[in-house]
Amino acid sequence: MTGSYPLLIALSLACVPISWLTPRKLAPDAVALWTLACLALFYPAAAVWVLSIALVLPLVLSAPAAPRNTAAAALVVVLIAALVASRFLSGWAWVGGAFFTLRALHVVIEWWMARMPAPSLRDSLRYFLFLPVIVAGPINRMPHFLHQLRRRRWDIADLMTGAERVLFGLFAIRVLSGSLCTELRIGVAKLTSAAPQFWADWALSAVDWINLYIVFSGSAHLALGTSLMMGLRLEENFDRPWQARSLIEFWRRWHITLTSWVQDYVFRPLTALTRKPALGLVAAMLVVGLWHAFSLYYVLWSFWQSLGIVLARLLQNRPVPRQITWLGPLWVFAWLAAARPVIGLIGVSP
Amino acid sequence: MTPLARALAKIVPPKLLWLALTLCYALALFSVIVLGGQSATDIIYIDIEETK
Repeated sequence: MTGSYPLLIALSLACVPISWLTPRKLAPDAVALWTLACLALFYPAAAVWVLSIALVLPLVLSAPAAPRNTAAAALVVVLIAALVASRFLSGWAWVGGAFFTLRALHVVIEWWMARMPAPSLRDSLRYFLFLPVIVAGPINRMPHFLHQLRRRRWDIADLMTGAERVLFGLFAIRVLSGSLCTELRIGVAKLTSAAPQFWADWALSAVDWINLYIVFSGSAHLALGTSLMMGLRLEENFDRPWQARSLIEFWRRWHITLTSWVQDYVFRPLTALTRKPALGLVAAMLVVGLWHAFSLYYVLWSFWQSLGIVLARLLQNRPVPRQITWLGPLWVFAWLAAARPVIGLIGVSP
Repeated sequence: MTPLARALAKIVPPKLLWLALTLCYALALFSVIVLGGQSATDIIYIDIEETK
């Protein structure tokens, strides 16, 4: 596992007994307090950042004098600027900024569109200071989270199912990724050492995608399993992405909470505004790319993904022989893995 | 019933279900503790800054 991630998993699991041993009405507050204490102890800068968001949002959004458009625009700019700044100011032990910034933007935009009331201070603290989803998502939505808090009750089946998911997540991260994928990568690197650089990069990129899926879906199992052990059913992040027969379908199945976020807050508004779906697509994929990292590589990566989606869209209505439809997942996988060697051709690497 | 218990119930006699389930959990825990290794340190979706 990476760096201090095992520590954060252990601290997240401690939320389970905390949530059941404190009185029902205070349990989410106790978890929020625990989250804040853990972050303050190990990641103080991130603690200040996320606490500021949790405190400022309800204050600004519920201020009667605040002009709606100005307040929303100012908050969006500040939130994005803070995320950008954290990416360039390294060495401050940042954690989870990519995830809680999108959660905060979701709250601001929903409030601005009058689809959600301004959150109370208590609800805001409960939502933003929830340790199981801080490090690797999912980018869960506030109304769903608060609904889950209201309907939360003790259920031994949920507790056991959650524990099973946590165990599966640990197995995926430590055994499948930590041991098997590591060996696989070494083997593929040896096997392709004599091959041209482009093909060697493609093969290694394919192995890295497999590893990425195992670790990230394992992290989702950990977060969702821990939440389920606390009696909360949060949004799923994966739906068997490797069964996708086109790139369009893949992005509906992979990191679902991120893709639904960009669909709701980037793609649909831009497409509605400009009547140009292609522009909305490029902008949405650019947000996804830059969300991963602020680099030229991820700008080019987002163009590559957009191109793949456009091609998939063009081919969607063409008749395809039934015998080769099963090759769909392989084409998707090949396209995803090809991003790195293709972008590498112009001398840009991740 | 958990998803694993449901899956095992299809292939294991009811009397042996708890034994099979316990063995699966034990095997998974053993693998995690004994066979588990450190995964790659550059997984982009795990948002932890390495340098402190």
